[in-house]
Amino acid sequence: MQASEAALLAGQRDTEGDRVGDRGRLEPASAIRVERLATLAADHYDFIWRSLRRLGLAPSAVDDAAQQVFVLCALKLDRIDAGRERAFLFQSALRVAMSVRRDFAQRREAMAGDAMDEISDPGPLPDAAAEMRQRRLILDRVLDALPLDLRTVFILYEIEGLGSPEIASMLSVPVGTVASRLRRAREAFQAEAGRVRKQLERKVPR
Amino acid sequence: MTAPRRLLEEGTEFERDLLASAGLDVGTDQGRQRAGLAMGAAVLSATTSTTSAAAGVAMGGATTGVLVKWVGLAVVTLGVAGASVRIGQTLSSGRHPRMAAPTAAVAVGPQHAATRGPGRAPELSRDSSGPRPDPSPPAVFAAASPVAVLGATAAPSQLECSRPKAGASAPRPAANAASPSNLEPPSVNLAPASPALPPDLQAEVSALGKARAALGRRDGQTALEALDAYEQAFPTGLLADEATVLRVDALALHGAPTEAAALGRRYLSAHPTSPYGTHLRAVIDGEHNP
Repeated sequence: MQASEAALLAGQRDTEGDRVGDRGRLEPASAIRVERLATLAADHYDFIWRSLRRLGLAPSAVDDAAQQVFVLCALKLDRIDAGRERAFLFQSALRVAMSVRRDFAQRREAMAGDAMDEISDPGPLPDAAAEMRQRRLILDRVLDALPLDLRTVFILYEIEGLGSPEIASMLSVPVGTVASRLRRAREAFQAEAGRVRKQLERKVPR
Repeated sequence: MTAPRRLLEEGTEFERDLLASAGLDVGTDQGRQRAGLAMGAAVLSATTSTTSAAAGVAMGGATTGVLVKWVGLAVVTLGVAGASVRIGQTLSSGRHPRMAAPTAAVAVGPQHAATRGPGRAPELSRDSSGPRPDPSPPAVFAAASPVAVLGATAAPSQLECSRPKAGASAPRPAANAASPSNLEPPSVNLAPASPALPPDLQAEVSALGKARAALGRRDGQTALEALDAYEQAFPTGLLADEATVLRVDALALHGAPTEAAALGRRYLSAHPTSPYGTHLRAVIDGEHNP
């Protein structure tokens, strides 16, 4: 936290930065704040949306969850250090995803029985989009087998392409922990992917 | 330590196909628009929920509605390719801060938006000679600073400090500011949106606002009671970190510095990189009396 923020927390508002100028224009501090907000959303919306999906949220829940993440961002904007925006957003996404998953736990259990049927039925004449959707369903099914801590590191490394140091910083864990989780996550992912593939081959003989 | 090669490169074909499919998964324009609008609403709603006294002074209903659209449109301008052309058509009106830079919205096409990497700010063309932004959004924004909402322990009346003094910078009356002539939002075809906080989050903001307001009055007891109520209502709340920081302040203010320091240390132990670290350490060290 910056010193100026501590001052704000202490109740000393930065009254200069938010003034509206004599000519009625937005002074720099507010303009910067708004632009920062807009830039964050523009730069990171897809990353957060994708992360929420891969963290196990249903498509119908992801828009709302992403909205929550960015609302939290708007509420806390002044406390997010420059360069830590993506980490902040992802940590918020994690928290929101866990909250939503808790709320929908029973529903997800009820849906689980149908998951493989949906995956194994590609539908008539699947086009590229349908095939892509099918792959994502399978991917989510495989990811569901990973504990959340492993799943999180796996998503950031294997899907989002982040490096271990950034992941470590983002999750506030040592780089060695990231490496360990990633190794276990890959083992679990590959094992589950192998199982699912065999199941699919049994259901849809080639 | 060498980073392992990614499965996208060395996995089986099946694994590579699965992982590649995720990279192309993106949100919808409607979702972006809703998020943008809600971000604007967050600023607004937090103010009205925590500073009712100031809120009545700070804004009229029409003005706040414009703020929501204003911030929402800022996001839309930057992030929603499909809306950029429509926004571009409204740029010539020049009534909106974002609208003062026609090339900005036009330049943000699908390819540009899709290829912009994380952390890279979009290149906005700032036309300093363009029309001045309307004054009313900043007036609301000033009173609705997120810091004032969740972190600052300023009394509600202090929120007005950021507003221009009467006669000094001559803010326009709300009715004037909200007149269609200068505040009518551009005719962007926004999808149905929910320009309000999600109900649960709104309730959290409101509950914490009571604690913050009590701290602003230096009423530690009431702040602690409000925080107890918050934690009972939202045991896994999204603003739990803020609640903890406020509790540390409340304990220190209520004559329980030892408890405050203990709670602060526990929090810092669990969240060593917390953005509240500096503030909490100051309270723990007794340098800062909230």
